Amino acid sequence: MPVYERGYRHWEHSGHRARAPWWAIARRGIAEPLKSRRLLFLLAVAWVPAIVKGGILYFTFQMGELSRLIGGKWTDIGPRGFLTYLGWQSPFVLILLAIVGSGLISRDRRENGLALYLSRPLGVRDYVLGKGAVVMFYYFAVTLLPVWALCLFGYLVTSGATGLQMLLLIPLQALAYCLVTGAGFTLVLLALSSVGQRTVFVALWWVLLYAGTDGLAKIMSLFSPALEILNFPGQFLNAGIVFFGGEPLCEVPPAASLLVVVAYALLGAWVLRRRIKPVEVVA
Amino acid sequence: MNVAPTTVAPAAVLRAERVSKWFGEVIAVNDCTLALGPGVTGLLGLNGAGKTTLFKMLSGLITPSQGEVLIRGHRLRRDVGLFRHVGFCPESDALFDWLTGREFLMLMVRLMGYDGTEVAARSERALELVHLGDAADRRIGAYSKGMRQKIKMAQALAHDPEIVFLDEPLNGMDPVSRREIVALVQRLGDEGRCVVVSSHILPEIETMTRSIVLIHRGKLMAEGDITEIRDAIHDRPTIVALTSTEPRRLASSLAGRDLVRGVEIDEFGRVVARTDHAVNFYRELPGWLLAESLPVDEIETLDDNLQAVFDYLVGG
Repeated sequence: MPVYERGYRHWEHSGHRARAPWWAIARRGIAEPLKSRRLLFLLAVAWVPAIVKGGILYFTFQMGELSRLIGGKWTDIGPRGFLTYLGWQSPFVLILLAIVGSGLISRDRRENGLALYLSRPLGVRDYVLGKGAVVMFYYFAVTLLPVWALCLFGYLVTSGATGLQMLLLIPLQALAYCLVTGAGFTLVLLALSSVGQRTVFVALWWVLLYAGTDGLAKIMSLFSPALEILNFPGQFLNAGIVFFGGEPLCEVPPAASLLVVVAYALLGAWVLRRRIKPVEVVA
Repeated sequence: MNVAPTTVAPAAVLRAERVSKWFGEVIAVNDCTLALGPGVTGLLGLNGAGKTTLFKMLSGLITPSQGEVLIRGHRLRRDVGLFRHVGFCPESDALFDWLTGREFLMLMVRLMGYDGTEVAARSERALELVHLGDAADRRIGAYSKGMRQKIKMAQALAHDPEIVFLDEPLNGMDPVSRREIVALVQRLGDEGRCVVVSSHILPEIETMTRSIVLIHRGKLMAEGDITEIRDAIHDRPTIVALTSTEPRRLASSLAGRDLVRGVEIDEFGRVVARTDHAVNFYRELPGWLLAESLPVDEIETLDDNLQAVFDYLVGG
Protein backbone atom coordinates (compact mmCIF):
# COMPACT_ATOMS: atom_id res chain seq x y z
CA MET A 1 0.00 0.00 0.00
CA PRO A 2 1.48 3.38 -0.94
CA VAL A 3 2.47 5.37 2.08
CA TYR A 4 0.06 8.21 1.34
CA GLU A 5 -2.87 5.83 1.62
CA ARG A 6 -1.88 4.62 5.04
CA GLY A 7 -2.58 7.82 6.85
CA TYR A 8 -1.40 8.04 10.38
CA ARG A 9 -2.98 5.99 13.08
CA HIS A 10 -2.54 8.50 15.90
CA TRP A 11 -4.16 11.52 14.36
CA GLU A 12 -6.90 12.91 16.53
CA HIS A 13 -6.59 16.62 17.05
CA SER A 14 -8.01 17.45 20.44
CA GLY A 15 -7.17 21.14 20.17
CA HIS A 16 -6.11 21.09 23.81
CA ARG A 17 -2.93 22.60 25.08
CA ALA A 18 -0.68 20.63 27.37
CA ARG A 19 -1.95 20.53 30.93
CA ALA A 20 -0.36 23.37 32.91
CA PRO A 21 2.83 23.38 30.82
CA TRP A 22 4.12 26.28 32.91
CA TRP A 23 4.32 23.96 35.87
CA ALA A 24 6.73 21.64 34.06
CA ILE A 25 8.99 24.63 33.38
CA ALA A 26 8.62 25.96 36.92
CA ARG A 27 9.29 22.59 38.50
CA ARG A 28 12.53 22.12 36.62
CA GLY A 29 13.56 25.74 37.28
CA ILE A 30 12.91 25.46 41.01
CA ALA A 31 14.58 22.07 41.43
CA GLU A 32 17.77 22.94 39.55
CA PRO A 33 19.21 25.59 41.96
CA LEU A 34 18.35 23.42 44.96
CA LYS A 35 21.09 21.02 43.86
CA SER A 36 23.60 23.68 44.89
CA ARG A 37 24.74 23.54 48.52
CA ARG A 38 25.79 27.18 48.39
CA LEU A 39 22.27 28.20 47.48
CA LEU A 40 20.83 26.07 50.27
CA PHE A 41 23.26 27.77 52.66
CA LEU A 42 22.18 31.18 51.39
CA LEU A 43 18.54 30.26 51.90
CA ALA A 44 19.35 29.15 55.44
CA VAL A 45 21.19 32.42 56.16
CA ALA A 46 18.23 34.36 54.74
CA TRP A 47 16.13 32.92 57.54
CA VAL A 48 18.45 34.21 60.27
CA PRO A 49 16.68 37.61 60.43
CA ALA A 50 13.43 35.70 60.87
CA ILE A 51 14.89 33.95 63.91
CA VAL A 52 15.97 37.33 65.28
CA LYS A 53 12.52 38.72 64.56
CA GLY A 54 11.01 35.68 66.25
CA GLY A 55 13.11 36.39 69.34
CA ILE A 56 12.00 40.02 69.30
CA LEU A 57 8.36 38.92 69.03
CA TYR A 58 8.77 36.54 71.93
CA PHE A 59 10.46 39.02 74.24
CA THR A 60 8.05 41.79 73.29
CA PHE A 61 5.12 39.59 74.21
CA GLN A 62 6.87 38.62 77.45
CA MET A 63 8.21 42.01 78.46
CA GLY A 64 5.54 44.31 77.02
CA GLU A 65 6.37 48.06 77.17
CA LEU A 66 9.80 47.46 78.64
CA SER A 67 10.93 45.78 75.46
CA ARG A 68 9.68 48.74 73.44
CA LEU A 69 11.62 51.14 75.63
CA ILE A 70 14.79 49.15 75.07
CA GLY A 71 14.43 48.28 71.41
CA GLY A 72 12.38 51.18 69.99
CA LYS A 73 10.83 50.61 66.54
CA TRP A 74 12.75 47.35 66.18
CA THR A 75 10.31 45.78 68.56
CA ASP A 76 7.22 46.87 66.61
CA ILE A 77 5.06 43.75 66.46
CA GLY A 78 2.34 45.37 64.37
CA PRO A 79 2.03 45.18 60.56
CA ARG A 80 4.54 48.01 60.10
CA GLY A 81 7.11 45.97 62.02
CA PHE A 82 6.75 43.20 59.46
CA LEU A 83 7.41 45.65 56.64
CA THR A 84 10.61 46.57 58.47
CA TYR A 85 11.47 42.89 58.55
CA LEU A 86 10.88 42.67 54.78
CA GLY A 87 13.29 45.59 54.41
CA TRP A 88 15.93 43.53 56.22
CA GLN A 89 15.43 40.83 53.61
CA SER A 90 16.34 43.18 50.78
CA PRO A 91 19.99 42.03 50.44
CA PHE A 92 18.86 38.41 50.28
CA VAL A 93 16.30 39.27 47.63
CA LEU A 94 19.05 40.98 45.63
CA ILE A 95 21.51 38.08 45.84
CA LEU A 96 19.09 35.18 45.61
CA LEU A 97 17.19 36.52 42.63
CA ALA A 98 20.46 37.38 40.88
CA ILE A 99 21.53 33.76 41.29
CA VAL A 100 18.33 31.97 40.34
CA GLY A 101 16.76 34.47 37.96
CA SER A 102 19.52 35.86 35.78
CA GLY A 103 19.93 32.78 33.65
CA LEU A 104 16.31 31.76 33.36
CA ILE A 105 15.76 33.18 29.90
CA SER A 106 19.27 34.20 28.87
CA ARG A 107 20.40 30.59 29.12
CA ASP A 108 17.48 29.43 26.98
CA ARG A 109 18.32 32.06 24.42
CA ARG A 110 21.96 31.04 24.39
CA GLU A 111 21.13 27.34 24.16
CA ASN A 112 18.29 27.80 21.65
CA GLY A 113 15.86 26.51 24.21
CA LEU A 114 13.12 28.88 23.13
CA ALA A 115 12.61 26.97 19.87
CA LEU A 116 12.39 23.72 21.82
CA TYR A 117 9.90 25.12 24.32
CA LEU A 118 7.76 26.95 21.81
CA SER A 119 7.54 24.04 19.38
CA ARG A 120 5.41 22.35 22.02
CA PRO A 121 1.78 22.92 22.94
CA LEU A 122 2.43 26.01 25.04
CA GLY A 123 2.46 29.71 24.34
CA VAL A 124 4.78 32.55 25.30
CA ARG A 125 2.51 33.27 28.26
CA ASP A 126 2.95 29.74 29.61
CA TYR A 127 6.69 30.02 29.20
CA VAL A 128 6.89 33.34 31.04
CA LEU A 129 4.55 32.05 33.72
CA GLY A 130 6.77 29.02 34.27
CA LYS A 131 9.93 31.09 34.48
CA GLY A 132 8.18 33.68 36.63
CA ALA A 133 7.03 31.01 39.05
CA VAL A 134 10.67 30.12 39.67
CA VAL A 135 11.55 33.69 40.64
CA MET A 136 8.39 34.04 42.72
CA PHE A 137 9.16 30.78 44.55
CA TYR A 138 12.57 31.98 45.69
CA TYR A 139 11.28 35.48 46.43
CA PHE A 140 8.55 34.04 48.62
CA ALA A 141 11.07 31.69 50.23
CA VAL A 142 12.87 34.64 51.80
CA THR A 143 9.97 37.06 52.26
CA LEU A 144 6.45 35.69 52.51
CA LEU A 145 7.23 32.30 54.03
CA PRO A 146 9.29 33.71 56.93
CA VAL A 147 6.56 36.30 57.57
CA TRP A 148 3.93 33.59 57.69
CA ALA A 149 6.11 31.45 59.92
CA LEU A 150 6.62 34.43 62.23
CA CYS A 151 2.90 35.15 62.26
CA LEU A 152 2.18 31.56 63.22
CA PHE A 153 4.81 31.76 65.94
CA GLY A 154 3.38 35.09 67.12
CA TYR A 155 -0.12 33.62 67.22
CA LEU A 156 1.12 30.71 69.32
CA VAL A 157 2.91 32.87 71.89
CA THR A 158 0.31 35.57 72.27
CA SER A 159 -3.42 35.88 72.55
CA GLY A 160 -6.34 38.27 72.13
CA ALA A 161 -6.47 40.94 69.42
CA THR A 162 -2.75 40.71 68.70
CA GLY A 163 -3.08 36.98 68.14
CA LEU A 164 -5.93 37.47 65.69
CA GLN A 165 -3.90 40.12 63.85
CA MET A 166 -1.06 37.63 63.62
CA LEU A 167 -3.32 34.88 62.34
CA LEU A 168 -5.31 36.79 59.74
CA LEU A 169 -4.47 40.40 59.02
CA ILE A 170 -0.69 40.38 58.72
CA PRO A 171 -0.47 37.17 56.65
CA LEU A 172 -2.98 38.60 54.18
CA GLN A 173 -1.22 41.97 54.05
CA ALA A 174 2.08 40.21 53.50
CA LEU A 175 0.55 38.01 50.79
CA ALA A 176 -0.84 41.01 48.91
CA TYR A 177 2.41 42.94 49.25
CA CYS A 178 4.61 40.01 48.24
CA LEU A 179 2.40 39.18 45.26
CA VAL A 180 2.60 42.73 43.90
CA THR A 181 6.28 43.33 44.58
CA GLY A 182 7.20 39.76 43.64
CA ALA A 183 5.46 40.19 40.29
CA GLY A 184 7.30 43.49 39.79
CA PHE A 185 10.72 42.03 40.64
CA THR A 186 10.00 38.93 38.56
CA LEU A 187 8.98 40.77 35.42
CA VAL A 188 11.92 43.17 35.63
CA LEU A 189 14.42 40.39 36.24
CA LEU A 190 12.99 38.19 33.47
CA ALA A 191 13.04 41.17 31.12
CA LEU A 192 16.73 41.71 31.89
CA SER A 193 17.32 38.00 31.39
CA SER A 194 15.56 38.10 28.03
CA VAL A 195 17.76 40.92 26.81
CA GLY A 196 21.13 39.27 27.39
CA GLN A 197 22.60 35.91 26.58
CA ARG A 198 25.38 35.94 29.16
CA THR A 199 23.99 35.16 32.59
CA VAL A 200 26.81 36.97 34.35
CA PHE A 201 25.99 40.23 32.58
CA VAL A 202 22.32 39.88 33.39
CA ALA A 203 23.24 39.39 37.04
CA LEU A 204 25.44 42.46 36.85
CA TRP A 205 22.62 44.58 35.39
CA TRP A 206 20.31 43.32 38.12
CA VAL A 207 22.79 44.26 40.84
CA LEU A 208 23.34 47.67 39.23
CA LEU A 209 19.61 48.29 39.04
CA TYR A 210 18.98 47.08 42.56
CA ALA A 211 21.98 48.24 44.55
CA GLY A 212 23.19 50.92 42.14
CA THR A 213 19.96 52.89 42.08
CA ASP A 214 19.72 52.52 45.85
CA GLY A 215 23.08 54.22 46.30
CA LEU A 216 22.51 56.76 43.55
CA ALA A 217 19.09 57.77 44.89
CA LYS A 218 20.51 58.26 48.36
CA ILE A 219 23.06 60.70 46.98
CA MET A 220 20.56 62.43 44.69
CA SER A 221 18.04 62.81 47.49
CA LEU A 222 20.52 65.10 49.22
CA PHE A 223 19.68 67.61 46.49
CA SER A 224 15.98 66.83 46.23
CA PRO A 225 14.19 64.31 48.49
CA ALA A 226 11.75 63.55 45.65
CA LEU A 227 14.64 61.95 43.72
CA GLU A 228 14.33 59.04 46.11
CA ILE A 229 11.87 57.83 43.45
CA LEU A 230 14.93 56.61 41.50
CA ASN A 231 15.60 54.07 44.21
CA PHE A 232 14.45 50.79 42.66
CA PRO A 233 14.23 48.60 45.79
CA GLY A 234 13.31 51.62 47.87
CA GLN A 235 10.14 52.17 45.86
CA PHE A 236 9.17 48.53 46.25
CA LEU A 237 9.58 48.84 50.01
CA ASN A 238 7.85 52.21 50.26
CA ALA A 239 4.88 50.75 48.34
CA GLY A 240 4.52 48.40 51.30
CA ILE A 241 3.05 51.26 53.31
CA VAL A 242 -0.05 50.98 51.11
CA PHE A 243 -0.48 47.41 52.36
CA PHE A 244 0.88 47.54 55.92
CA GLY A 245 0.08 51.17 56.83
CA GLY A 246 2.31 53.60 58.71
CA GLU A 247 4.53 56.54 57.86
CA PRO A 248 6.17 56.66 54.37
CA LEU A 249 9.76 55.49 54.27
CA CYS A 250 10.81 58.40 52.05
CA GLU A 251 9.52 61.63 50.61
CA VAL A 252 7.69 59.80 47.84
CA PRO A 253 4.01 59.09 48.62
CA PRO A 254 3.45 55.30 49.01
CA ALA A 255 0.72 55.34 46.34
CA ALA A 256 3.21 56.87 43.90
CA SER A 257 5.71 54.17 44.83
CA LEU A 258 3.08 51.55 44.12
CA LEU A 259 2.52 53.13 40.72
CA VAL A 260 6.26 52.98 40.09
CA VAL A 261 6.20 49.26 40.95
CA VAL A 262 3.31 48.71 38.53
CA ALA A 263 5.15 50.72 35.86
CA TYR A 264 8.26 48.56 36.31
CA ALA A 265 6.10 45.44 35.97
CA LEU A 266 4.43 46.73 32.81
CA LEU A 267 7.77 47.70 31.31
CA GLY A 268 9.10 44.23 32.09
CA ALA A 269 6.05 42.59 30.50
CA TRP A 270 6.45 44.77 27.40
CA VAL A 271 10.11 43.82 27.01
CA LEU A 272 9.27 40.14 27.46
CA ARG A 273 6.52 40.37 24.87
CA ARG A 274 9.02 41.72 22.36
CA ARG A 275 11.95 39.48 23.22
CA ILE A 276 10.43 36.03 23.63
CA LYS A 277 10.20 34.43 20.21
CA PRO A 278 10.71 30.84 19.12
CA VAL A 279 13.53 31.85 16.83
CA GLU A 280 15.60 34.95 16.56
CA VAL A 281 15.85 36.28 13.07
CA VAL A 282 18.66 38.56 12.09
CA ALA A 283 17.46 40.47 9.07
CA MET B 1 13.85 27.96 -15.02
CA ASN B 2 10.72 27.05 -13.11
CA VAL B 3 9.23 23.62 -12.85
CA ALA B 4 5.60 23.45 -11.90
CA PRO B 5 4.83 21.15 -8.99
CA THR B 6 4.47 17.73 -10.53
CA THR B 7 2.43 16.10 -7.81
CA VAL B 8 0.25 17.25 -4.98
CA ALA B 9 0.37 14.97 -2.00
CA PRO B 10 -2.89 13.02 -2.07
CA ALA B 11 -3.64 13.34 1.62
CA ALA B 12 -2.03 16.62 2.52
CA VAL B 13 -1.29 16.81 6.22
CA LEU B 14 0.70 19.99 6.08
CA ARG B 15 -0.22 22.81 3.79
CA ALA B 16 1.35 26.17 3.12
CA GLU B 17 -0.94 28.52 1.28
CA ARG B 18 0.72 31.44 -0.46
CA VAL B 19 3.12 32.03 2.39
CA SER B 20 5.57 34.89 2.24
CA LYS B 21 7.97 36.20 4.79
CA TRP B 22 9.90 39.40 4.71
CA PHE B 23 12.31 40.94 7.16
CA GLY B 24 12.31 44.67 6.66
CA GLU B 25 12.90 45.07 2.94
CA VAL B 26 14.33 41.60 2.45
CA ILE B 27 11.92 39.00 1.07
CA ALA B 28 13.03 35.64 2.39
CA VAL B 29 10.14 33.55 1.07
CA ASN B 30 7.87 34.72 -1.68
CA ASP B 31 4.38 33.35 -2.25
CA CYS B 32 5.00 29.65 -1.71
CA THR B 33 2.17 27.15 -1.86
CA LEU B 34 2.78 23.51 -1.14
CA ALA B 35 1.06 20.50 0.31
CA LEU B 36 2.87 17.66 2.02
CA GLY B 37 1.41 14.27 2.79
CA PRO B 38 2.70 11.20 4.62
CA GLY B 39 6.25 10.14 3.77
CA VAL B 40 9.64 11.79 3.84
CA THR B 41 10.12 15.07 1.97
CA GLY B 42 13.46 16.79 1.58
CA LEU B 43 13.51 20.55 1.70
CA LEU B 44 16.40 21.81 -0.39
CA GLY B 45 17.93 25.09 -1.31
CA LEU B 46 21.19 26.95 -1.50
CA ASN B 47 22.32 29.03 1.46
CA GLY B 48 20.17 32.14 1.61
CA ALA B 49 17.51 30.65 -0.67
CA GLY B 50 14.83 30.93 2.02
CA LYS B 51 14.94 27.24 2.94
CA THR B 52 15.39 27.84 6.66
CA THR B 53 12.70 30.50 6.77
CA LEU B 54 10.24 28.23 4.94
CA PHE B 55 11.18 25.34 7.22
CA LYS B 56 10.57 27.45 10.31
CA MET B 57 7.27 28.74 8.96
CA LEU B 58 6.14 25.18 8.22
CA SER B 59 7.13 24.09 11.71
CA GLY B 60 5.28 27.01 13.26
CA LEU B 61 8.32 28.76 14.68
CA ILE B 62 7.95 31.81 12.47
CA THR B 63 4.64 33.38 11.60
CA PRO B 64 4.33 34.14 7.88
CA SER B 65 4.06 37.82 6.92
CA GLN B 66 1.39 36.71 4.49
CA GLY B 67 -0.44 33.44 3.86
CA GLU B 68 -1.08 30.55 6.18
CA VAL B 69 0.41 27.29 7.32
CA LEU B 70 -2.24 24.69 8.06
CA ILE B 71 -2.09 21.30 9.69
CA ARG B 72 -5.18 19.34 8.66
CA GLY B 73 -6.86 22.66 8.07
CA HIS B 74 -5.94 24.19 11.43
CA ARG B 75 -3.72 27.24 11.66
CA LEU B 76 -0.63 26.22 13.52
CA ARG B 77 0.50 29.33 15.38
CA ARG B 78 -3.05 30.26 16.30
CA ASP B 79 -3.73 26.88 17.84
CA VAL B 80 -0.71 25.83 19.87
CA GLY B 81 -2.51 22.61 20.83
CA LEU B 82 -1.55 21.40 17.35
CA PHE B 83 2.05 21.18 18.46
CA ARG B 84 1.08 17.92 20.16
CA HIS B 85 1.23 16.43 16.69
CA VAL B 86 4.49 18.07 15.71
CA GLY B 87 8.03 16.95 16.47
CA PHE B 88 10.79 19.46 15.87
CA CYS B 89 14.50 18.68 15.78
CA PRO B 90 16.49 21.92 15.56
CA GLU B 91 19.74 22.32 13.71
CA SER B 92 21.61 24.00 16.53
CA ASP B 93 23.84 21.83 18.67
CA ALA B 94 23.36 24.01 21.71
CA LEU B 95 21.17 22.19 24.21
CA PHE B 96 20.57 22.27 27.93
CA ASP B 97 24.11 21.17 28.80
CA TRP B 98 23.49 21.17 32.55
CA LEU B 99 20.84 18.45 32.31
CA THR B 100 21.37 14.75 31.73
CA GLY B 101 19.95 13.28 28.55
CA ARG B 102 17.14 11.66 30.50
CA GLU B 103 16.27 14.84 32.45
CA PHE B 104 16.21 16.83 29.23
CA LEU B 105 14.00 14.31 27.52
CA MET B 106 11.63 14.07 30.48
CA LEU B 107 11.28 17.84 30.60
CA MET B 108 10.50 17.95 26.89
CA VAL B 109 7.95 15.13 27.17
CA ARG B 110 6.37 16.63 30.28
CA LEU B 111 5.76 19.83 28.31
CA MET B 112 3.53 17.75 26.06
CA GLY B 113 1.20 17.35 28.99
CA TYR B 114 1.82 13.72 29.95
CA ASP B 115 1.75 12.58 33.56
CA GLY B 116 4.71 11.14 35.46
CA THR B 117 4.48 7.47 34.45
CA GLU B 118 3.83 8.29 30.83
CA VAL B 119 6.70 10.80 30.81
CA ALA B 120 9.13 8.17 32.09
CA ALA B 121 7.88 5.48 29.69
CA ARG B 122 7.97 7.71 26.62
CA SER B 123 11.39 9.08 27.50
CA GLU B 124 12.74 5.56 27.89
CA ARG B 125 11.26 4.47 24.57
CA ALA B 126 12.70 7.49 22.79
CA LEU B 127 16.14 6.84 24.26
CA GLU B 128 16.02 3.28 23.00
CA LEU B 129 14.84 4.47 19.60
CA VAL B 130 18.02 6.48 19.08
CA HIS B 131 20.26 3.97 20.88
CA LEU B 132 21.19 6.38 23.64
CA GLY B 133 20.08 4.32 26.63
CA ASP B 134 23.63 3.86 27.98
CA ALA B 135 24.40 7.57 27.96
CA ALA B 136 21.02 8.70 29.29
CA ASP B 137 22.30 9.67 32.71
CA ARG B 138 25.29 11.63 31.52
CA ARG B 139 25.14 15.39 31.27
CA ILE B 140 24.42 16.65 27.77
CA GLY B 141 27.46 18.92 28.14
CA ALA B 142 29.61 15.78 27.91
CA TYR B 143 27.86 14.45 24.79
CA SER B 144 29.57 14.23 21.42
CA LYS B 145 28.06 16.02 18.44
CA GLY B 146 26.47 12.80 17.21
CA MET B 147 24.94 12.08 20.62
CA ARG B 148 23.50 15.58 20.76
CA GLN B 149 21.96 14.95 17.38
CA LYS B 150 20.41 11.76 18.69
CA ILE B 151 18.98 13.31 21.85
CA LYS B 152 17.47 16.07 19.69
CA MET B 153 15.89 13.38 17.53
CA ALA B 154 14.63 11.61 20.63
CA GLN B 155 12.87 14.71 21.97
CA ALA B 156 11.25 15.25 18.58
CA LEU B 157 9.89 11.71 18.48
CA ALA B 158 9.12 10.91 22.12
CA HIS B 159 5.50 12.06 21.89
CA ASP B 160 4.84 10.05 18.74
CA PRO B 161 4.08 13.02 16.46
CA GLU B 162 2.38 12.78 13.11
CA ILE B 163 4.50 15.53 11.58
CA VAL B 164 8.25 15.57 12.14
CA PHE B 165 10.59 18.40 11.20
CA LEU B 166 14.26 17.53 11.06
CA ASP B 167 16.76 20.30 10.47
CA GLU B 168 20.10 18.92 9.24
CA PRO B 169 19.55 15.66 11.17
CA LEU B 170 22.81 13.95 10.19
CA ASN B 171 25.15 16.78 11.18
CA GLY B 172 28.23 15.54 12.97
CA MET B 173 27.23 11.88 13.03
CA ASP B 174 29.59 9.00 12.53
CA PRO B 175 28.81 6.57 9.67
CA VAL B 176 27.15 3.99 11.91
CA SER B 177 24.88 6.53 13.62
CA ARG B 178 24.19 8.07 10.22
CA ARG B 179 22.92 4.73 8.93
CA GLU B 180 20.79 4.26 12.03
CA ILE B 181 19.20 7.68 11.71
CA VAL B 182 18.60 7.33 7.96
CA ALA B 183 16.86 4.01 8.64
CA LEU B 184 14.84 5.63 11.41
CA VAL B 185 13.75 8.51 9.16
CA GLN B 186 12.75 6.10 6.42
CA ARG B 187 10.79 4.06 8.94
CA LEU B 188 8.98 7.18 10.16
CA GLY B 189 7.98 7.91 6.58
CA ASP B 190 6.90 4.31 5.97
CA GLU B 191 4.72 4.47 9.07
CA GLY B 192 2.77 7.22 7.38
CA ARG B 193 4.14 10.21 9.21
CA CYS B 194 4.82 13.42 7.38
CA VAL B 195 8.57 13.93 7.76
CA VAL B 196 10.18 17.12 6.48
CA VAL B 197 13.97 17.03 6.32
CA SER B 198 15.93 20.17 5.64
CA SER B 199 19.48 19.79 4.49
CA HIS B 200 21.97 21.37 2.14
CA ILE B 201 23.82 18.08 1.71
CA LEU B 202 22.11 16.49 -1.26
CA PRO B 203 23.42 12.92 -0.92
CA GLU B 204 22.13 13.03 2.66
CA ILE B 205 18.61 13.80 1.46
CA GLU B 206 18.86 11.29 -1.33
CA THR B 207 19.54 8.48 1.13
CA MET B 208 16.26 9.25 2.86
CA THR B 209 13.80 10.14 0.12
CA ARG B 210 13.11 10.73 -3.57
CA SER B 211 10.52 13.36 -2.75
CA ILE B 212 11.78 16.92 -2.57
CA VAL B 213 10.75 20.54 -2.30
CA LEU B 214 13.26 22.88 -3.87
CA ILE B 215 13.34 26.53 -2.99
CA HIS B 216 15.47 29.09 -4.80
CA ARG B 217 15.71 32.83 -4.19
CA GLY B 218 12.67 32.69 -1.94
CA LYS B 219 10.48 30.99 -4.53
CA LEU B 220 9.27 27.44 -4.70
CA MET B 221 11.06 26.03 -7.73
CA ALA B 222 10.04 22.38 -7.77
CA GLU B 223 8.06 19.94 -5.71
CA GLY B 224 7.64 16.19 -6.09
CA ASP B 225 9.57 13.04 -6.97
CA ILE B 226 13.12 13.62 -8.23
CA THR B 227 12.56 11.53 -11.38
CA GLU B 228 9.33 13.30 -12.24
CA ILE B 229 10.95 16.67 -11.68
CA ARG B 230 13.87 15.59 -13.82
CA ASP B 231 11.49 14.54 -16.55
CA ALA B 232 9.80 17.92 -16.44
CA ILE B 233 13.05 19.73 -17.18
CA HIS B 234 12.57 19.71 -20.94
CA ASP B 235 15.47 21.88 -21.95
CA ARG B 236 17.97 19.40 -20.49
CA PRO B 237 17.77 15.91 -22.08
CA THR B 238 17.95 12.96 -19.73
CA ILE B 239 21.17 10.99 -20.17
CA VAL B 240 20.79 7.21 -20.13
CA ALA B 241 23.75 4.82 -20.22
CA LEU B 242 23.20 1.28 -21.53
CA THR B 243 25.80 -1.44 -21.14
CA SER B 244 25.68 -3.94 -23.97
CA THR B 245 27.86 -6.58 -25.59
CA GLU B 246 26.89 -5.06 -28.97
CA PRO B 247 27.19 -1.33 -28.36
CA ARG B 248 27.50 -0.30 -32.00
CA ARG B 249 24.34 -2.15 -33.10
CA LEU B 250 22.48 -0.77 -30.10
CA ALA B 251 23.68 2.78 -30.80
CA SER B 252 22.62 2.70 -34.42
CA SER B 253 19.23 1.29 -33.46
CA LEU B 254 18.61 4.04 -30.93
CA ALA B 255 19.91 6.81 -33.19
CA GLY B 256 16.93 6.64 -35.51
CA ARG B 257 14.24 6.87 -32.82
CA ASP B 258 12.07 9.98 -32.39
CA LEU B 259 12.44 9.89 -28.61
CA VAL B 260 16.21 9.92 -28.81
CA ARG B 261 17.94 13.23 -29.34
CA GLY B 262 21.48 11.88 -29.62
CA VAL B 263 23.60 8.79 -29.08
CA GLU B 264 27.30 8.25 -28.43
CA ILE B 265 29.59 5.56 -27.06
CA ASP B 266 31.56 6.69 -24.02
CA GLU B 267 35.07 5.72 -22.88
CA PHE B 268 33.67 2.76 -20.91
CA GLY B 269 32.06 1.33 -24.02
CA ARG B 270 28.56 2.20 -22.84
CA VAL B 271 25.93 3.55 -25.18
CA VAL B 272 24.91 6.97 -23.90
CA ALA B 273 21.55 8.16 -25.20
CA ARG B 274 19.95 11.58 -24.63
CA THR B 275 16.19 11.87 -24.51
CA ASP B 276 13.77 14.70 -23.86
CA HIS B 277 11.05 12.34 -22.62
CA ALA B 278 12.60 9.90 -20.19
CA VAL B 279 9.31 8.35 -19.08
CA ASN B 280 8.27 7.52 -22.66
CA PHE B 281 11.79 6.39 -23.49
CA TYR B 282 11.78 3.88 -20.67
CA ARG B 283 8.32 2.69 -21.68
CA GLU B 284 9.34 2.07 -25.29
CA LEU B 285 12.86 0.77 -24.69
CA PRO B 286 12.01 -2.89 -23.83
CA GLY B 287 9.97 -3.16 -27.06
CA TRP B 288 12.85 -1.85 -29.18
CA LEU B 289 15.34 -4.18 -27.56
CA LEU B 290 13.14 -7.23 -27.98
CA ALA B 291 12.21 -6.41 -31.58
CA GLU B 292 15.86 -6.31 -32.65
CA SER B 293 17.18 -8.85 -30.11
CA LEU B 294 19.58 -6.29 -28.69
CA PRO B 295 21.43 -7.48 -25.59
CA VAL B 296 21.53 -5.02 -22.70
CA ASP B 297 23.14 -5.84 -19.34
CA GLU B 298 22.60 -2.65 -17.44
CA ILE B 299 20.63 0.59 -17.77
CA GLU B 300 21.52 3.63 -15.72
CA THR B 301 20.16 7.15 -15.77
CA LEU B 302 23.14 9.40 -15.31
CA ASP B 303 21.41 12.61 -14.40
CA ASP B 304 18.15 11.94 -12.62
CA ASN B 305 19.91 12.03 -9.30
CA LEU B 306 19.30 14.82 -6.88
CA GLN B 307 22.59 16.56 -7.56
CA ALA B 308 21.89 16.74 -11.29
CA VAL B 309 18.31 17.95 -10.78
CA PHE B 310 19.50 20.52 -8.28
CA ASP B 311 22.27 21.73 -10.60
CA TYR B 312 19.92 22.01 -13.56
CA LEU B 313 17.34 23.94 -11.60
CA VAL B 314 19.46 26.34 -9.63
CA GLY B 315 22.36 26.47 -12.04
CA GLY B 316 24.81 25.12 -9.48
